[in-house]
Parts: sequence; structure tokens; C-alpha cells
Amino acid sequence: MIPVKNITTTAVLIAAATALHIIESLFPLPFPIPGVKLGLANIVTLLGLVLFDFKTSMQIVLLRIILGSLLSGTFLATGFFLSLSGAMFSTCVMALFLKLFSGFSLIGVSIAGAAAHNLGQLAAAAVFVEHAGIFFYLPILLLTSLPTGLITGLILHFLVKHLKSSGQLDRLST
Amino acid sequence: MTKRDMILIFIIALLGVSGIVITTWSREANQPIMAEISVNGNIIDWIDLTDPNKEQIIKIDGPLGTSLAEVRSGEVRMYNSPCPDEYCMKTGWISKPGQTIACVPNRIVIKLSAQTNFVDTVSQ
Repeated sequence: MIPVKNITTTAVLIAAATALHIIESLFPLPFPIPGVKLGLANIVTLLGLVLFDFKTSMQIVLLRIILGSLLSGTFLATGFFLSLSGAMFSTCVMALFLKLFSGFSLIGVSIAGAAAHNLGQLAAAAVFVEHAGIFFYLPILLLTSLPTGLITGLILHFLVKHLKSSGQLDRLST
Repeated sequence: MTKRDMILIFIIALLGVSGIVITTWSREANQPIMAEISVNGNIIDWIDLTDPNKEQIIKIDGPLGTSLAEVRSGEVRMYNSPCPDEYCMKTGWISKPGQTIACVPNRIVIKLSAQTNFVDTVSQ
């Protein structure tokens, strides 16, 4: 039986991730490349990995993408599958870097997650257009994942530090 | 920020920069350029871009609708497309081999390559 506290915290994280996902889609970025985005919702994904386990984080990711796309009208559209593929691959990579590989800080994990997110999106796009030429976008996507991963990593770093110091980190999950 | 973080950042930066260098500068100058237009992975047309005076609008039919590509002065761009985000149109003009315009919702890829032969080999 999952503790009620975990369920409610997870629900709040899903709500926060969905909100970030939608707000982010309202920002027009100058790059005309499919998949360049700030990835603010990944902050919540990584927070879920820090607080809970991999399974819960996957739940958060799946639900936020479904909810976010339902709310913004892109459910089951092309972008939906790109996001889904990118986010799921990103969660797996971040879980790997966080739990299995040692010696990486939250910022490093976040950057790895951002790069994996872009890779996953590009792979899904390649499946859609059935043309390997789309990987032409890979180098620039990798480079943009560095600053975006850094920003989300820094935000998460300070978030976790603040939660730890005020004693709330343990109160969020049993 | 640990040392391993820096190594990771360095590796990603290296991959990214080398990828850009390879795709942009590894071609010789003045090579004949061809635009390969494909829908759903099937090549439907080749456009020869070497003639700088050629001006052409190409209709590409995809599952979402008809996209229009424009050829002018040896460059090509997506002029109009029925996709929601219009990334393909925002890509602008491409003119170098290896560069690509992709409209993922309409399953279209326009890729430039440096060859004029319409067949690579002939098997007998």
C-alpha cells in the first residue's frame, strides 16, 4: 500500500510538471529547430527521481505529457510522440546517471537528461519522416542541451538545497 | 559541479561542435548540389540547384496537406506548409550539402547532397 503522503506529493509534482510543460510551450524560442526548448518540466522529473524512485518518476512524466497535450490540444499529434519519446528516454538516462553512475552532481545529471531528451525527440522524428537526414539537427541540439540542462540543473540544485536546509525534503516523502 | 560533470559537458560540446564542423565544412567548394525531396521516406523528386537563375515552386503532397518549397539562386526553402509549428518554414534558406529542411508533421524531408548523378550505381 503506497503511503498517502507519497501519492499526494506525486500528484502535486504532476500538476507542477504539467503547468511548466504548458507555460513553456507559450515561449517562442528564436531557434527554428524542432525540439529546442527550455525543458523546465524536467526539473520536476529530476525532483521526482531525487525524492522517489524511477517508477514514480516515469508515472509523473507519462501523466504530465498526456495531461499537458490534452490541455493544449496536441494529444496524439506528432509533437506528442516526440515529447513522449524524448521525456521517457531522458528520464531513463537521468535515473541511470543519478542512481547508477557516481560522481555526477545534479547539474551533470540534468545536462545528461537534456541531451537525452533531444536525442529521444530526434529519434522519434526520424521514425516519422523515415529519413536519416533529420539527424543533421543533432549537433546543434546537443549544443543547446548544454545551457538548458545547466539552467534546469541549477534551479534544481538550489531547490533541493533549500528543501534540505528547511527540513522539508524528508517531509515530502516517507 | 563535479569533475565528471565537466567531462560530460566537454564530451557533449565536442560531439556537437565536431558534428557542425563535419556537416558544414567538409565539402569542397563549387560542388554540384542536388535537393532530394522525400515524403514518408520515399524520394519523390530531385531538384538540381546548380543553376543560379532557376526559380521554381515545388508542390509536395504529404499526409497533412500540400507543402510548397521554393527554389531560387541555388537555394531552397520551405515556402508554405500546413504544419502547426512551422519549424520547417522558420529554417529558412539552405544551400550547402548535408543541410536539411524537415517538416515532421507532414513527413517531408528536403536534403541537399553533392551529386548530379541520379543513380549512384548501375547493377547488371
